[in-house]
Amino acid sequence: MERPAGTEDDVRLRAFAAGDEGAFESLFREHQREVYAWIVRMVRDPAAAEDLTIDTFWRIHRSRARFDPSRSFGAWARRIAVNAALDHLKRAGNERSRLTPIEDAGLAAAPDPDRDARRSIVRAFVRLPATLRVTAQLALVDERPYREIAELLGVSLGAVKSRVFRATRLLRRELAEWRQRR
Amino acid sequence: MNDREWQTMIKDAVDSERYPELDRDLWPRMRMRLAASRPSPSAWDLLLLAAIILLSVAFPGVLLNMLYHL
Repeated sequence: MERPAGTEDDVRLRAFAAGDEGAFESLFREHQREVYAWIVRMVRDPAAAEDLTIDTFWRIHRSRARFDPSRSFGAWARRIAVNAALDHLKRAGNERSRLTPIEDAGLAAAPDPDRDARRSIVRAFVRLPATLRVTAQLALVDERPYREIAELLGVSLGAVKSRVFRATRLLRRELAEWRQRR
Repeated sequence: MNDREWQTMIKDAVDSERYPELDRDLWPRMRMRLAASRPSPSAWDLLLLAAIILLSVAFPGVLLNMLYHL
């Protein structure tokens, strides 16, 4: 979406793109919580999410000359944050994610007869390959439109549909196996 | 269970975990990261600077001459 020229925000974004450190600091302070919230939902690790928030803004700072100030800063930051989270999950690919104490606390607190099934789904979810996990998070959990996910990840619409299908199939299989083991 | 019900189940399970909001300002860490990335002068730059200073002390006229012709 195009932004009207001459507004305070427009002036700040132009200053940021031109390399103004004050404008960058102002954008950082305004968006850091939002960026952290996107990332922590994907990586499910608050400490890693803090590091990745810094990494995201580092990438933003490095690419500032390529930023079009007439576009939404938030959408651009989100694309960079998603890719930073994806890179992190790929790097951590072999080190299987485990439920953090926060996750355990959240699940244990819910008096739900299906708690074990939910826990099993979460375990299977965090074991998905990074690209499937991020796509499934955006599509199934955050319920973002497929077209937006395609733009965020820089892939085709067909690739998004295929990843969601594969993630769902893997999760179904995991849950079926878990039910058989019970 | 159809696809829609299955997706709802995944969403409910995965979304049931809540993470605390960021409760501190990360700007000081960001500033340190920016400062660490700024290029420091290379050994050659420092050597060149030292040579110019030595030259200007030993032969002040040469530098003045050079400046005149610039």
